[in-house]
Amino acid sequence: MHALHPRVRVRWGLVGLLAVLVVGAVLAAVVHFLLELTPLLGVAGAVLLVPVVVAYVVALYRSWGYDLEADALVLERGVLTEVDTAVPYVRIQHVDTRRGPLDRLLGLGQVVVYTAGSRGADVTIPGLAPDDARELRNRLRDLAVESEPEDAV
Amino acid sequence: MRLHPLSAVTRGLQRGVVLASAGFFLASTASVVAPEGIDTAGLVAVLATLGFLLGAAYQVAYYLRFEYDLTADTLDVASGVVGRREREVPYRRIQNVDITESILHRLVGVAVVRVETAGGSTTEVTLNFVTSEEARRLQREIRERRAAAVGEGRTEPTEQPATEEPGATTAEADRPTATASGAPRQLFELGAGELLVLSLSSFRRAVVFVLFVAVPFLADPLLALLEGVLGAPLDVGAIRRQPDLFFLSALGGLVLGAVGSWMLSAAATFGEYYGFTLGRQGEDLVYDRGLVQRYSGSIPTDKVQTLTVRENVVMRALGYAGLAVETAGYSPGQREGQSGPQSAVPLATRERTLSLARDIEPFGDISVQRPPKVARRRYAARYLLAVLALTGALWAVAQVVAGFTLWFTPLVLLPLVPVAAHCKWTHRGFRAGEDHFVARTGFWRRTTRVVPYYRLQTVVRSRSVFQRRLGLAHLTADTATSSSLGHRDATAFDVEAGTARDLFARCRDRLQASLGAPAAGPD
Repeated sequence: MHALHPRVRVRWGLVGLLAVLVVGAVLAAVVHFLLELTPLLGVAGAVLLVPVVVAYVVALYRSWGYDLEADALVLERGVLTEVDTAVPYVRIQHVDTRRGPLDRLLGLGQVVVYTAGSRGADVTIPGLAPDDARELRNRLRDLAVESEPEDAV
Repeated sequence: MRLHPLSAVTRGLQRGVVLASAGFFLASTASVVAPEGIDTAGLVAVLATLGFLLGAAYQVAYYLRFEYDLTADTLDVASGVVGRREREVPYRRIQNVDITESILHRLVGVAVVRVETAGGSTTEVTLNFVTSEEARRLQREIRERRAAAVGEGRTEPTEQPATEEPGATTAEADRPTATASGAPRQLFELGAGELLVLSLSSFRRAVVFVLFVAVPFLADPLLALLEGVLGAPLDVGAIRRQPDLFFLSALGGLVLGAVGSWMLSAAATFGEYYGFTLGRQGEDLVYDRGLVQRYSGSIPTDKVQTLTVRENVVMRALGYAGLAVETAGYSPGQREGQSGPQSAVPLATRERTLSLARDIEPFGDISVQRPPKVARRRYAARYLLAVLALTGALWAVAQVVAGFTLWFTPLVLLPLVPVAAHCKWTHRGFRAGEDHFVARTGFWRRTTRVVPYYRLQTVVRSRSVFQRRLGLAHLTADTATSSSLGHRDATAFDVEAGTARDLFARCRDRLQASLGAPAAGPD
């Protein structure tokens, strides 16, 4: 199993903190306007959530792994629900690399693998170094071409 | 070739009326904004007429500029009044040619033809509308040409003949392509008794929403009816003032709603499946159905991804079953706002359904292995928590609303918890057969999904926190389909963790084996 780039934790952490900020703001507003208590309670709630987010991000990073096995790309991930996905190379329709603004800022990239299956959009490998992402994409493309020339449905 | 000339008239009328009402709306808005200085009646008349003429003219132009043709290899459609679009659909890529005739269509003898391919979520070609004879001719011709095109492709030497799908090769031997032409061979006809059982045992979730929308309109007549039955006037205000009474009448309303939904479902199903026949024509299964709106569609058997045997609780008790088929990219009849795949066999005796299903995809035994007993405990715990949560919520309401004392009502469900858990457990299971993966679930509507290994797309294994504690896991065998809405994967629920690991490997191995090639990969 290959691990993701360690910096992906920063990415997840930032997204998590943004969520905490939103939750904190809503909480503060509810506490202040509905219960008519000090909005600092909302801030306190948000602060309490931070270690939860950190712990979750660390656990998520540990749970993530991908591997190119003999027949299929295998992903493992998930903290509360562990999910293993096997995508046989024969079933790969096309492979994308994707870099959003946050990815570019942090020097990361994603690989998205498409299949004809209804869960096709699920197969994303986040948090790779841009070169690794490109290399993995090319590798998967070659593996998909090498395997059966079928119409993939 | 052109569409039916009448289509220009009806579509012109439709569009004309739409635009005319838009004109009417504009004129009335103008008269509200500037009440003085505008001759309202005159403006309405002018704008509405203008709108009507514009709409009608557009549709006549649309008719004149719409042409379709069957060429040697493709179905060509050129359309568009201002922006032109020329579309060529290769026959070998066409999956379905469906014909729909509403009651009005049938009065004039016309039909709407829709052509579907695996790609794209929308219909590739819609011919709205042509004569019924032309529709049948198109359906027949396209099918013949498709069979010919596919046949040509087959005879070319392929790199690895072993990759032929096992289902297709065995079935082809006794089914020469020559039968693609001519009338379909009838396989199944829905009898009157079967239609009745099907209607009475169906419950459509969509109907609940219809009822939900209709309630505000039905409330007054229903109340009048109730007063008539009771022989005394009902004081709605008094019911509202007494929370207990309000709660009880809400429960009663729920029951009434359920009965109403059931009756509506039965009527809808009756109309939909009236006169259902299934036949085989070459590689396709073709079906006709419908009382008011006739519908004729086809299922390409060489594209079948998943077979689903459906047995709801009533059907099981009477020994009946139904069969639904999911094909790649497009499930027949999706468009009609139904979720999930269309019935190939709406209802027949269990043996007959299974034999028809095996005719499409030769699978073996579908008896399944149940989840371990610990799963049943899991379901019981889940239901218990649900009942307690509901009671808790009502208790909280009782604390706020004075006079509401019936918060403990959900507790009457407690004795049902173990029964429900057992029912759920006993109807779940899986089977890892030689060529097929079988997954079953559901008590009220039991579905047994049969997935050929060579159709697998991805294999997914998942374990939640609670499942890990009990040593259980879900295993999903995903196949290709575009209908993400309403599509249910073949999932073996709550299998023992070690078994799930084996299944995860087995599904992948069997897929590779069915491809007939050594696994290509690194190292």
